[in-house]
Amino acid sequence: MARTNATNFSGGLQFPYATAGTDLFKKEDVQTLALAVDGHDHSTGKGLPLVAGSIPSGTITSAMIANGTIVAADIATGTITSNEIADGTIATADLANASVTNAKLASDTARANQLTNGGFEVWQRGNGPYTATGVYTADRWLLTLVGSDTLSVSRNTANVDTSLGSNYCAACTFTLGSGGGATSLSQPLKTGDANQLASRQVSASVRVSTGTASAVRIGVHDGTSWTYSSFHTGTGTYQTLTATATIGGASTAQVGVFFAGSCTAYLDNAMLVVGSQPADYAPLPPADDLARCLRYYEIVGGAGGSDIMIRGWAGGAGQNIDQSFRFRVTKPITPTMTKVGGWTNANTSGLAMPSFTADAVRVEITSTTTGDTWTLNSPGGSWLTAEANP
Amino acid sequence: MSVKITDFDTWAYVHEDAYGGSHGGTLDPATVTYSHNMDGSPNHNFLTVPCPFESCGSVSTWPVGGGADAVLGQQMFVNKTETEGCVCGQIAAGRTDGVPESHVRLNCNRMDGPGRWQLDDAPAVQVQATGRAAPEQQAQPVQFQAVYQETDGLIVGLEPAGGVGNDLKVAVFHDQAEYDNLMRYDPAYVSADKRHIVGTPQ
Repeated sequence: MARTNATNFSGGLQFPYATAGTDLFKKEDVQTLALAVDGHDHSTGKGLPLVAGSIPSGTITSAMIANGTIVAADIATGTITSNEIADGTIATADLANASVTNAKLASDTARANQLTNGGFEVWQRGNGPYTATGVYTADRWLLTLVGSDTLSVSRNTANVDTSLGSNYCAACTFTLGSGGGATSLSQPLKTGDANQLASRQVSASVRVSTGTASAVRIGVHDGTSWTYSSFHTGTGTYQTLTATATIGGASTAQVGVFFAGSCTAYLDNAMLVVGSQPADYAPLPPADDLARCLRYYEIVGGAGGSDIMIRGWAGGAGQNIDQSFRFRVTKPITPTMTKVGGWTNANTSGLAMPSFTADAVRVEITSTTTGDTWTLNSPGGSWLTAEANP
Repeated sequence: MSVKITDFDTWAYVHEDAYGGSHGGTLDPATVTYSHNMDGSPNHNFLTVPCPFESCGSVSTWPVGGGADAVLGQQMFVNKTETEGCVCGQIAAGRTDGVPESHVRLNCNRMDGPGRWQLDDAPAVQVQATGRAAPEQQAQPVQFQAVYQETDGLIVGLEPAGGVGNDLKVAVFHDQAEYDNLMRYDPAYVSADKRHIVGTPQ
């Protein structure tokens, strides 16, 4: 005779069972077994615990999981995707410090513009039109003609990029000749001008509007070659053209707008930022915008005139009367000084600028006889300019 | 924009931002003259270019560094020096070897630093620059050539692109300090042992 007790049931539910055919049969054993079956819920002492294989795949629902019990260790690495995250719920505290890279920035993240007068807002030389090669148009924007192409650039208010609050844009009327798409309006950023873009990846963006497809695109020069954007599609509305390149070591960066087909195009709101992601145009305060331009071009004297006078008493002919003007902004190199217009002179043949540096200019008048000697920037349209193009 | 000569064969010029509208044409090269120092002597660092357009009245004074246009500005000084010699008396008129350009180049470097020379593609001088020097040259080894008069050691040019004739010699220097001396002293001289640049003749 042999009997043993069930090992997966305990207490009042632990039923005995026979291990041999000669074992004594007791009705109490059946009663205990019935109780065990009735109380069988896989908890301790009430049968074998459940194992993973006992549960069919895909049958555990969130209702079977107690709230707040899933921990990070229960989630496989790299399995949570943006679909599992509700929009607008990631907070700053969820991001590790110093972990957001340039590549993650959207274009509307404002960044420092490396261009001067990227908005085409400042036209110190006048409103144009400018048509000659090698001349500056809007401040710092250089017109370069290739072959028999023609390009006329002028300031424009009627076609500005109003979506970004622009006041002025550059209106460009282009006729394709033999230039092959190389005629441009560009802005160089030379290392000799203390720019620090060498060996950096930079991204340019320019707002362009034209009704002619495949006529206008932009480019970034890395010191060796150009990297171009796609062409404007000719919708007649503003599109943002972008290009990204890594500037070579000790090289001059350059941003250019290129014309490959006869068209009228409007250029506005250009940006050049460090990094792989182009940025939308971020305007500078007007004072800062002008201050950048003054580094390269500066006007001494107002358009109305009569605000610059050099005057003194000469004891005889041939006496020099000098005066110095300090530039508002130091130039990158010694500028070309121009006396613009016909000044009004008394007892002198006119003003000369015998010496100047990147910081200041000395102007001089020479008397023709004894007496009151002066020159005045009158009538209007008479002033001095300092132009320094590194 | 400045009154700018765009073609030195025809002496064509442009005055693109003239008050009242752009104009251009040709001008008389004789009207392009050096400015003057306080004592009345001519100054080889500045050339005045009057706009000949009727009633314009504008006059641009160009620095030897090139100012508004490095290439055309420097070329104007070279052409002027080749044709008329330099008003400083160091370069004779009609000289067509490498000396006139080297003279202008020396003056250019003294005015705007070694990165400013753009008349050819080569760097102005390979030096560890100071002041407004071009950063691309700051890591370059120091090496430059000075053109000097054998009689008194007076340095009249820098980095000649051609011959210098029998009256002049070329000294090669490899020292930043000597380049600094060349920029500091005007006039500058090659020392008696030909190894240094000094401020007085030896």
